[in-house]
Amino acid sequence: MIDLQLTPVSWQIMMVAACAAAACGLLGVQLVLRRRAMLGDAIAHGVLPGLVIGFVVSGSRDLFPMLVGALIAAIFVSILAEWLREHAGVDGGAALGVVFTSLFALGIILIEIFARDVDLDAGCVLYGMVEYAPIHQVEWFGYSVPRSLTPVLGALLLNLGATVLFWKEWKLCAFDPQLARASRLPFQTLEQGLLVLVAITSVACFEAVGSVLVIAMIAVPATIGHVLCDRMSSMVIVSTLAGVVSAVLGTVGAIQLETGVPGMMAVSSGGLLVGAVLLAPGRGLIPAATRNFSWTMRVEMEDILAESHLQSMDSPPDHTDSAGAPSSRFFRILATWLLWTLGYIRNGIPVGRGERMARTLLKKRSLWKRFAAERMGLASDHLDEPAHRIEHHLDDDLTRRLESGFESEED
Amino acid sequence: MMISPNTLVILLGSTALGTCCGLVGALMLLKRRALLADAIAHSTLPGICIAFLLGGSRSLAVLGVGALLSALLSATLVSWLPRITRIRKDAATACVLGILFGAGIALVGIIQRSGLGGSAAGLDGLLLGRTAGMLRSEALLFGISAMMMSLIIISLRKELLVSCFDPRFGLSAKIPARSIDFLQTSLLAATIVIALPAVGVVLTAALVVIPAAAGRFWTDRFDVLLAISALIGAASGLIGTLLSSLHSNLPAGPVIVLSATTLFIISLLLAPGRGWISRHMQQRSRLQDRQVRQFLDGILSSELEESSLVVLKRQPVTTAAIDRRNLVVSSRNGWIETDSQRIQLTPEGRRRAVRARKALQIWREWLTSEASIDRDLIDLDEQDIEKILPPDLIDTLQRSIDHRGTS
Amino acid sequence: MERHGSAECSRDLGGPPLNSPAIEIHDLTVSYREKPVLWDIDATIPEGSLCAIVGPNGAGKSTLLSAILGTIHPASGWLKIFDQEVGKSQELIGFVPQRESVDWDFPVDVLDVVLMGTYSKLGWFRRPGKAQRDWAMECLEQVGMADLKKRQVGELSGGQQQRVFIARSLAQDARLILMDEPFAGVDAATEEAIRLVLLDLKKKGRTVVLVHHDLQTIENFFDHVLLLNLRLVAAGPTAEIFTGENLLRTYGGRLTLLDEAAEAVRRIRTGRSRTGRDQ
Repeated sequence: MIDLQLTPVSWQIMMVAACAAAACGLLGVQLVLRRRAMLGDAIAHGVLPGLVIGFVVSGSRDLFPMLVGALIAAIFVSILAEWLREHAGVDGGAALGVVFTSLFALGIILIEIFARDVDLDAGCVLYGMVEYAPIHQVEWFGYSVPRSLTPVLGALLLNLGATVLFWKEWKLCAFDPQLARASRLPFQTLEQGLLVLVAITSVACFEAVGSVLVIAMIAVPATIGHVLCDRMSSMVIVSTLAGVVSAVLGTVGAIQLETGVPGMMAVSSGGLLVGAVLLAPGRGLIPAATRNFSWTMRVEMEDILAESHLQSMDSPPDHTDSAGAPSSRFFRILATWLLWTLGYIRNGIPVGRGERMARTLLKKRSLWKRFAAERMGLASDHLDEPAHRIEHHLDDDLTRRLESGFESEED
Repeated sequence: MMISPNTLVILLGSTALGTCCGLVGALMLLKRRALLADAIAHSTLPGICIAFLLGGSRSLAVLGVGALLSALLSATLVSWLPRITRIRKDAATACVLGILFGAGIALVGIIQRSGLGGSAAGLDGLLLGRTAGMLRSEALLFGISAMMMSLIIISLRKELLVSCFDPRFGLSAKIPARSIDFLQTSLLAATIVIALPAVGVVLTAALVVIPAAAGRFWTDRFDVLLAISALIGAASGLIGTLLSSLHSNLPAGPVIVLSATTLFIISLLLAPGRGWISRHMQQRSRLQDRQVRQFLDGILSSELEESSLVVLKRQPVTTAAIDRRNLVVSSRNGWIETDSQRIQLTPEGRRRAVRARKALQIWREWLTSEASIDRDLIDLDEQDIEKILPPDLIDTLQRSIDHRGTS
Repeated sequence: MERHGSAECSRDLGGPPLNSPAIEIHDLTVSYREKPVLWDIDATIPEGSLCAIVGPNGAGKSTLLSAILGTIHPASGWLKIFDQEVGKSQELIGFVPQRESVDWDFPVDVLDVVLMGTYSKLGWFRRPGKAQRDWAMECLEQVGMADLKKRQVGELSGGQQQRVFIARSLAQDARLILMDEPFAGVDAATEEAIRLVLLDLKKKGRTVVLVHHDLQTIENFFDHVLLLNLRLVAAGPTAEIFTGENLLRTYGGRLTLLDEAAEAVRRIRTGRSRTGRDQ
């Protein structure tokens, strides 16, 4: 059992991190659906000059003016990129890239000119100071909470409110921008409002978790939601949950490995993403492979049962064996072994359950062949092709309908 | 101005580096993968850390290999994820970037705590670069890379063209589009890895994106785009290094990037054809042409003594300034004759006005017959018509108009 | 191999003898995301014919083209192009894509695109030379686009864009040319131009297979027709099979049980229950 060593301090760190992740995750869903997942990256880099200018203008190391400067810079990034795309014909990704990398370079130069001696510590913005969160505390209703929780929680509530308020509108804008534009919605305003929210959230989270993590928290939990869910509602829930879980795992992991929380949060979210891609029920890679395998096995087993049943009745076989590709030979052997182990086949003759399965299959097969030949005009040499072995797919309902007569079938 | 040998080395190295970045950036721009460079650049961090942990040394070669491997890994992930899942390209790029860079940060923290010698200064150097410390060997490396890349691009020009423009055609052209694509990605990864120590993570991405985007304004041809991107990249390297050497406290990396940005802005504004100023001026001149045409048409109307209703419908709103300019331009071109009382069309001017009317008729005819659009809604210029409709179509339409007997 | 002059006669065409059909399809079944899109297709398209693939939306017409091109692999059955497996002699197949799938903003001009058709004969590291350029210009003349050779492709009208890709297929010296709805949304004059090019191709012995939507124009123009609606309704010479009854079967909706069977296949293969939610 791992000794978690979770102190109250750790809990506070976890709380701040979880709120930041949730706040980013909510907006991340909107960005991912609009194919603008890289906006988080762009803002994370592009705010640097804003921070420096805020510092210079205010003359102090207070966080607030820097964050205001960052906010202005963030909005600047999205608007400028949009302008380049619309009016200068620059490709979307390139427009974003030009803007934020230039601003980042500008920011570094500004640091060198104005802030060299003051140790502005751009690293603070990059990696955040979530580990130091518990150090500065403020009073809330008699409880002592980390100061950095304030902007983060504020952003979370803001995003939550916006998500709820604009649910229908955002959904339409995301899925069908044409229709949204055509209808009475103030499409531009809504989209720009979304961008402003992204800017606010990023900046609010910078101090807490750093800009690096904002990139990950905007993109990854939402992508996990995208992989697992088919509706925006479930996507939002999964995304928020994934963010919170990443925060928890990340904090624990950071304590264990004695490294920074933001990095471990990103890694945790990565692990969750890998898990989602591999294991998503239905669509995941592993369930799909498993399903294919069990399907092939089932078909093979049923075929063997049917063939051996026919043989045992001294009837002619239904179709000649298809030439064995190595893989199908493998399945054949495996299926035979499994049938034997399960007791469905004894001495090459289906018994018990196996015999019942054989009979059912043969009945379905003859029904289908008759249907195919009479109703669909399938040529006889096509009936044996694998794609036409529909008998394996027929469930009881369809079988009954086939049986109860083709006459009632519409054409 | 005396340039020390050291500065010369750095100058040449930066120029070569800029060339590489410009070339590979153009390819990425054409494949619409501009931000892949950013993702790859950030993804080198975990590779470097792991190489450091495993290799124990800080030799650039060892770290470079680590960086290259994780760069290739991230590029592969970004290509594969959209293919095997429903994750889209932008989300894949952002996720790979965030996760791998986060992993890198975590590893840096581990290295620092373990006291193995990695330092925050080293990390900052990686993020921001230290061109000033460019060694002769590095500059040589850049030079060789630039030459090799140019060679590859020149010799594989048609393969690259097919891979970027129409990969599905690859099979028909006997070109392995997937392999060429992998080659391009590897070139990108290699460029980023060698650029990292000099320019840093974010700024490498900048150099890959900005010169190519700038170059796009200048040309509509594949080869020329590659050449101009390389040129702008080289110029950025040169100018940036020169400028930063004048102020000793400015790191060269950001200055090189801002030089590239400046060239981008210049291209945006000044490029003939696609540049903003050029397009603006084109629009202005076309507007003025139209105003003159409408002016001449107005005179034609009165000369033909058309009913005032028709005339009113055709009169656009003008200002005194526009009127004046119309007069000046028309008389200078010999399209009108003026005496103190009236304005009259010259034969040339009349020909011009009649032809303009005919063209408009043809256009409207085409719209109503083929496109079923209400004719009064559209009003285009002669040039547009000739550009949009092929000559044989114009003939066909003209014949159908003549056949119908409309004047 | 350098080209000098155009290939007027079919004797210049490489590949198997002319007796074999251009395309042979046997029991082709293609699925997309576990749902059958083409089912049990049997067809033969003779060489030198002008063949139309006709059917309602979603009938699998574009899928059939992709299967012929080899970009989609069949679930069962097979195709042979010029008596060879799909993908073996790809240079003999020219493809004129649908307009939406092309990046028109790409910095290539008309001549560049047509020159791409010559690449298969050039091999690695060689550039198209004067001979290839001349040959490309001939192909452009054939489609009436020679004076637009320096235009960037995005500046062309829809019909002109089609013609450029046809010219590319000509430059490839393709024996088989596939086109996906070339006449869709094209004005009358361009339609005429494309028609003339197609007739010219037929005269030269090429096989042209295209997905077509305009039923009015089929009888007079195409000598071969494939009526498709998930399954093959009929295939053969236009005169024989382009009948009202066949058209009714093509456009008149599908067999419900067949639909259900297809749906059952899909459900089982994707692990979804009847209501469509993940299990």
